[in-house]
Order: sequence, then structure tokens, then C-alpha cells
Amino acid sequence: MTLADPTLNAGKGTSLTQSRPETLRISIRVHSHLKYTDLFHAVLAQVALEIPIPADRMDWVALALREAVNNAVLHGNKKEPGKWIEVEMVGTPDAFTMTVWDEGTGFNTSKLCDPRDPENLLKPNGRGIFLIRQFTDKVQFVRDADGRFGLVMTVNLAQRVSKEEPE
Amino acid sequence: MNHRTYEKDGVSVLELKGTITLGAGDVTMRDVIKDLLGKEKKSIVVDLGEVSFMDSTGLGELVAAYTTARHQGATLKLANLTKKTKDLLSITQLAAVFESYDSLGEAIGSFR
Repeated sequence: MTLADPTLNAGKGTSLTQSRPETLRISIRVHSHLKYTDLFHAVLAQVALEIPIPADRMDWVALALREAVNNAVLHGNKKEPGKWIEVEMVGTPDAFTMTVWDEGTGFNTSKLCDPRDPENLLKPNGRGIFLIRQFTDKVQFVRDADGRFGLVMTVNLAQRVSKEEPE
Repeated sequence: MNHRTYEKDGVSVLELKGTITLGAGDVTMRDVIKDLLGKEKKSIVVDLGEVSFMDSTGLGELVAAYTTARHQGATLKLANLTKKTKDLLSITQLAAVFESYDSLGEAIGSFR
């Protein structure tokens, strides 16, 4: 796998963001359909038995994964059931990384609106990527050699990165 | 998601249970709120005490229900929020939008 972003590690069998040895790698590729969101959530719950994701973060990490998968199906693959999505989960002693791949063109992250702005607050949509950024420690947008778009979400295991806390 | 609606002290209560996520309850909530508004119900409390998981779609449905109610001259309030739901509303700053109460009784009483 070769990634467009040279700052990311490109080797197969190697974590996108970490250099320490992997302790777990799972990759599941399915046709693009929302029914698989629950499947990936269930897989994450099993993975959490092996990866020390803090218990108080599990629901939020699951929420981030669900948002990313829904985003890939609805916006990346534009609900075309013949397209594919793939979810990779990689664990190392330091971090847990989830990457959701779709066949879409990606999007301009600089154009994402802040759903907390007064003009956006009462809009029913537009909170997915915001929540992903809130509930994971690092978010990257990448493209592989096959042209797939990937949303990479990293959860630090060794040390919690300070995030904005709820009031 | 499971739900039931009932009347108490002149207030319509929509009790939700389970998950409010894309494809698993969001449309149901929208339909039930529209049904209540169609019956000229003007005071609505959504009881979220047994909602175990909500995603951005669920949040969006709550917002849509709130704005639809407001546009039709009705008032929608929330009751029994779990800590996770409170956190979600706080992080998205929707806590400032919704009038929410720790108990159903308080929410119903607020309409008096």
C-alpha cells in the first residue's frame, strides 16, 4: 500500500502512524452498506478485549468509528452498493488506529463547518467529522495508490492527549 | 430503538429506549414527533433516560424535532439525560439549545 502523504508510513503490515511493533491487525472489506456499521462496531468491541482502550473512552471511540463508516458509505461511496469499504484496525503498545477506506474522491477538510457556530447549531447535519475529531487523538485524511480515500483515526494508549472536555 | 408515547398532566411524553443511530431509530423519532405535532400537541418531553447510544444522526434528529416543534408553535424539552448524552450535547454546544431536566417530573412540571 502506498499512500499519497509521504509523512505516513507506506509499508504493508506496518501501522500508518506508529513505528513500534504491531500487537494486532484486522482488516475487513465489505460492500458499501450501512448495515455493516453494526458489524464494525461489534468487531471493535471484540478488539477492545485485546487492546487496552480505556473503558471510559470505548463508547466514544466506537462513535468515531461509526461516524467514519457512515460517512464512507453515504458521502464517500455515495450509497452505491457495488462499491467497497474497508476498515483496518491496528494496535501497537502506544496507539490504536482505525482506518476507514472508501472509493470516493474525499473532501476538502478546510471547508468543513464548525457545527458549534451559531449559524450551524440548528442544522441537523454536519457533526460527524467534528465528533470524530473530538473523540480520537489524531485524524488524518489520506489516499492510497489505488485512489482510495482513507480516514485515519488514532487513539493514544500510552498517554491521553488533552482534548476539550465537556462542560 | 423502541419508543412509546403517552400523556401526563397535559404533556406529551416520548420515551425512547436503546440506540438512536443512523438507520436504527432516527426515522422513527422523526415520525413520532410529526405525529404528535399533527395532533396539535404543543408540550412535548422526550425522555432519553434509557437511550444507550446516540450518534450524529440521532443528535440531528433531536435538533430537527426541536426546530420542527418550534416552527409549529410547540415546545420540546428533554428529560433524564444520561451522562453520555449530556456530554454529547455539551461538546456540540447543543446543551445551550435544549431545555433539559434531570427528571421527567421536573420536565413536565416546567410546563405549568
